[in-house]
Amino acid sequence: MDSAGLPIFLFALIALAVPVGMIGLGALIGPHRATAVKRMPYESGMDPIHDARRRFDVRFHLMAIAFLVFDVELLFLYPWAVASRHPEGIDRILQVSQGLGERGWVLGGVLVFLALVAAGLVYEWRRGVLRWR
Amino acid sequence: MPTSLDMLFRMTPEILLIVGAVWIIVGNAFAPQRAGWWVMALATVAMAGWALAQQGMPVVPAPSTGGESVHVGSADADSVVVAGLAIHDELAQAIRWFAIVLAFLLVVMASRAGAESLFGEQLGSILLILAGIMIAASATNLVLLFLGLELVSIPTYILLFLGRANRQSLEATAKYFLLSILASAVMLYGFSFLYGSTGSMDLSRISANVREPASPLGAGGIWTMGMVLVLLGLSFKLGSFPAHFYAPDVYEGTTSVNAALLAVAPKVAGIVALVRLFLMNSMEVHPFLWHMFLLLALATMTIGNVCALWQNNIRRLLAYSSIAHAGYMLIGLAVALAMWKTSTGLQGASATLFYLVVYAIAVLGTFAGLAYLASARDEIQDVEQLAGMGRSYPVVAGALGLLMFSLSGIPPLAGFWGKLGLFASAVEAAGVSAAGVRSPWFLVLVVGGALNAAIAAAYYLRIVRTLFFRSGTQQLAPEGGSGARNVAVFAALLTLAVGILPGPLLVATRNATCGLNRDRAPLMVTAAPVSSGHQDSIVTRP
Repeated sequence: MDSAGLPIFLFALIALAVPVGMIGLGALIGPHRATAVKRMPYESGMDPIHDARRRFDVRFHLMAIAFLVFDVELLFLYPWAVASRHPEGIDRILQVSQGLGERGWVLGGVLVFLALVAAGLVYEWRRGVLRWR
Repeated sequence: MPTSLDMLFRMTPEILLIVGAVWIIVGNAFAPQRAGWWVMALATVAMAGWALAQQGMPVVPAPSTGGESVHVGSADADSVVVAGLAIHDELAQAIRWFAIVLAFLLVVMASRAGAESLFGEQLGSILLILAGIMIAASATNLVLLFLGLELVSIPTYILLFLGRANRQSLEATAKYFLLSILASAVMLYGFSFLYGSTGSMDLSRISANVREPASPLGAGGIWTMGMVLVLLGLSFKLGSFPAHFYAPDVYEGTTSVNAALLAVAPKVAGIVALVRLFLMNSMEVHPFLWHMFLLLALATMTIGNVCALWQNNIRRLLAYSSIAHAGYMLIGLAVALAMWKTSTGLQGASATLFYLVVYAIAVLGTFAGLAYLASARDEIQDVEQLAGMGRSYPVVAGALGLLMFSLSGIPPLAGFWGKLGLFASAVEAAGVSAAGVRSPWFLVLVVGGALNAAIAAAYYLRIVRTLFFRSGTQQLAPEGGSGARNVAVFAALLTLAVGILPGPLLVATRNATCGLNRDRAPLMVTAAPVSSGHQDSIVTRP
C-alpha cells in the first residue's frame, strides 16, 4: 500500500468502527424498554405526520440556536484550517504585515475563538438550556 | 513597523473589557448576586482605564501657545500608531477615554437594574457595548468597523429584553431588534458597494482609490450609492431623520437605565463611524455629501423638537429630544464636510465632538435621575408624575433641573457652549469662501437651529416647572438605588463645571480632531504588500 493512502485507510476504518461499535454495543448491553414515545420515528416526541399548522415546542428553538452556534463555529474552523497551513495563507499575511516569522499567532487566535465558544457552552449548560424540561 | 505584540498591547483595554464581561456573564450563572459582580464590573472598567493610560494620552490639553488658531496638520505623524486593522490616533484615543468614563457611569447607574439572577447579563452587556464603541472608534477597516458597531447593537437587544417583564418591554425589544438588523443589513449593503467601487476594505485605500480622477468607478454611481446606504444605516444608530421613528416606542417600552444606554452608546458609535467614514474617507470629490448632511440636520432637529412638544410620557419626550440633539450634531458634520481641510471644517468637527460629550453626560444624568425616582414596580411614565419632586427630593430634582437647562442650552451650563460652537462654525461656513463652497444654506441652517433651540426650551422648561412649581398628587417611593442618584448628581455637577470652565474640554475635543487633516497616504503602507501580489498564487490556476 502506498504510504499516502494509509491515513485515508485508517480514517475509513475508524469511521466505520465507531458507528458500528456504538450501535452494536448499544444493542448488546443497553436496556430494552420500548415505550410508546420510544417507538416513534423521532425520539424527540414530534409526530412526523400531522397537520402543518400544529404548534412547535419552543424548546426546539433553544436547541436549534445552540446547534447553530456550533455549526457556525465549525464553518469558521474550515477556512482557518485550510488557510493556516497554506504557504500563502493567513501566516503569510501576518508575516508580511507584522514582520513576524511565527505560526503561533494563528493558533492563538483560533484558541481564543474556541475558548469564547466554550464559555458560551458553559453558560448555556449552567442556565439549563441543555436540560429538556 | 508594528508587531503583533504591539497590536495586542494597543487593544488591551478592549480585551480586558470583553474578558471581564464574559467572566461576569458566565460567573453570574454560577453565583447569582449583585454586589460582587457589580464591584467586579467596576474593577474591569478601572483595569481597562489603567491599560488605556499606559498608552499615553493624546487628549491632554496642549500648552496654549497658538492662541485661538487651529493648528492645521500640526500633529506629528509619529504619535499615530497603526496596528493592522486599527488606528489609534487622537480621535480614537479620545473616544476610547470617553467610552471608559461612560462605562463607569453606566455600571454605577445600573447598580439595581433588572432581576438579580440576570444581573450578570446586565453588567456584561454594558461592558461589551462599551468595548464595541472603543473598537469602532479605532477601526480603519470596514470589517472591524462593522464588528464594533455590531458589538454595540447585539448586547443592546439582550439589555432591552432584560428590562421589566411586561408587554411594552417585549414590544420595544422586538421592534428594536428587527429594525436594527434591517439597518445593519442596509449598512453592509453600502459597504459592499464601497468595496466594489474601490476594491479595498481599508478606509485609507478606499479614499485613495476614490480620489484618483482617472478612476472609472470613482465618484460615480456605485460609490455614491454605497455612501448613501451607509449613511442610512448609521442614521439608525444616531436616531437621525430617515431612521428615527423607532426611538420613541423603544424608549417608552424599556427602563430608564436601558434608555440611557440607548440614547448614548449608539450615538457615540454612530458619530465616530460617520467621522471615520465620511470625514476621513474622501472629501474633495463630493459636494453632495454636505448637502445631504445639511438637509438631514434640518429635518432631524425640526422633527425631534416639534414632536417632543406634545409628549406626555417622559421617556417618549426624551426620545424625541435625543433625535433633535442628533440633528444638532449633524450641523457640525455638514460644516466639516463642506469646509474640508480648512480651520472652519475642523471647528465643525470638534464642535460636534464637544456637543456629543456634553449631550451624553447630560442625558445620562437625566435618565439616571429618572431611574432613581422609579419605584420597584414601575418606571416613571408621565411628566406629571414628577410633580412636587422639587420639595420631596430636592437633590435629584435640582440635578434634573440643571440638566434640563443644559440640554436646552441656557448660558451658564455646558449645553450652551455646545450649541454655541456648532452655530459659530455654521455661521463661519456661511461667510468663508476658502474651499469655494460659500453657501447661504448654512445661514438657513443656523436660523433653523436657533429656532429649534427656542422650541426645545418650551418642553425642557415644562419639565422644570413640573418638578418645582407643581404640588405632587401622588407619593413616589424612589427605589432606583443610590448609584443612579449619584450618577445624576455627578452629571449635573460636571455639566455645571464644564459650563463655567469649558476650556479644557474645548481643547480636548479640538486636539481629538486635529488628526483629521493629516494626509492619510502614508498610512497605506501597512497592508499594501499583502493584497497586491499574492492574490493570484492563492487561487490555484489550471
